[in-house]
Amino acid sequence: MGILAFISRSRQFEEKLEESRPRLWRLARSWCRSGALADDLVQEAMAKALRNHGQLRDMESLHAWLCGILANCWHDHLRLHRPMADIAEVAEDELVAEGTPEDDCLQSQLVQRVRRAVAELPLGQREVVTLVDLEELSYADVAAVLAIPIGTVMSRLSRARSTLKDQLRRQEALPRLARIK
Amino acid sequence: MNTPVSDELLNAFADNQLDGAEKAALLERLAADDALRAKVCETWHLKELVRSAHPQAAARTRDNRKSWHLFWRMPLAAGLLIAFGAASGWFAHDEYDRSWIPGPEMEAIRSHGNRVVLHLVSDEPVQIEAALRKAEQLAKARDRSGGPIQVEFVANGTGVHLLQEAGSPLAQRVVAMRKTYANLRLIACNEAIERLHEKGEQVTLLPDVDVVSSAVSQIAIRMGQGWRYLQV
Repeated sequence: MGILAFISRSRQFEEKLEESRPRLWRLARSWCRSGALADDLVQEAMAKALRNHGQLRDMESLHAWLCGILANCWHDHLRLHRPMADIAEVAEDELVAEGTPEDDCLQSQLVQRVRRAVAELPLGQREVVTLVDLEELSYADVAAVLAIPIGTVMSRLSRARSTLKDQLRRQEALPRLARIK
Repeated sequence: MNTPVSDELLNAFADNQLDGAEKAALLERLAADDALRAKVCETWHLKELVRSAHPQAAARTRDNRKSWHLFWRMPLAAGLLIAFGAASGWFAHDEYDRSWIPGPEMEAIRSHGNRVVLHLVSDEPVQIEAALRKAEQLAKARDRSGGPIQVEFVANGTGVHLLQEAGSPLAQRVVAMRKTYANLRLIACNEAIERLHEKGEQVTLLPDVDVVSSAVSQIAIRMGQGWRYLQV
């Protein structure tokens, strides 16, 4: 029973890991704004997850755990390129290529506007907003993934949403409050 | 008089992160304050925009990068053949299948008096499919003594399209579900309908769909009464 349980857990871990790839890639892409770099980050995160899968206590928390590993890989990458910078404030335009082919092919202007608005947020805010809205992590999980206090999660989220709302309202991608009623 | 509600608190409400006294206090404020409700609505709208703008389908994989797991798979192959039967189904539904409500959440619903509000804000196909599956799962679920669970399905924003007669390819499914489950109530937000009217859309709702003045108010009232809240 012990061996069977171990084998089935390993198999499930491997399958869940592979299933997570598109979600991790989407998250990495929204953080680093480069498809090629997102490929590398996800690959590195998955390799690390595989090496350290014994540290995962229960499968229920797999996704938050993977997000944490991905965040570490991403922050390591930034440190390597900018050892002196405060990671949360890095304007990483210089580090990664902008305008991948899929950006050019995006058909919806609305999608483009929203993606651009998210991409222009300071990194610390962008990480929080994507973890909450795309990955649907709780604030406590986001705090653990990014190793920051939960109050910082809330203040970054608040600043991020305020900026996004202002920008999208200006571009008429979000209705003005008066019209919402 | 009332102190202003911080953006942090409103965000926490919109993200379903509040509990207990904080939530109760904010629910009271929301029920009485149109502007505050509008802010919550706007945040839900923004969340939906961010989600829609980052579809998972856009993710790409490189086949040549998948070889990493072969070394892991091969030694296990024999064991997997034996284990497969026992293992399959264990994780048939988990946190990655967003159209399935996991066991702990179902338990939370049962401890909220077997009452739940399911909230749909978008007509994105993935969201609609998840909403229908969750609604059906909830409608079929049983409380601890075998009785039904009360389900209110509240749609606002473009989610209202699901409850529309015209233009909804899923209308028959919704009608059939409503007929099958007496414990399922379908609710559309009038503010959302008005906004669609403003855009020139004609909205004819399916039979047996109730209309409330504001989805946020309805949710606030239900949460104030102790219902569990779930956003699709």
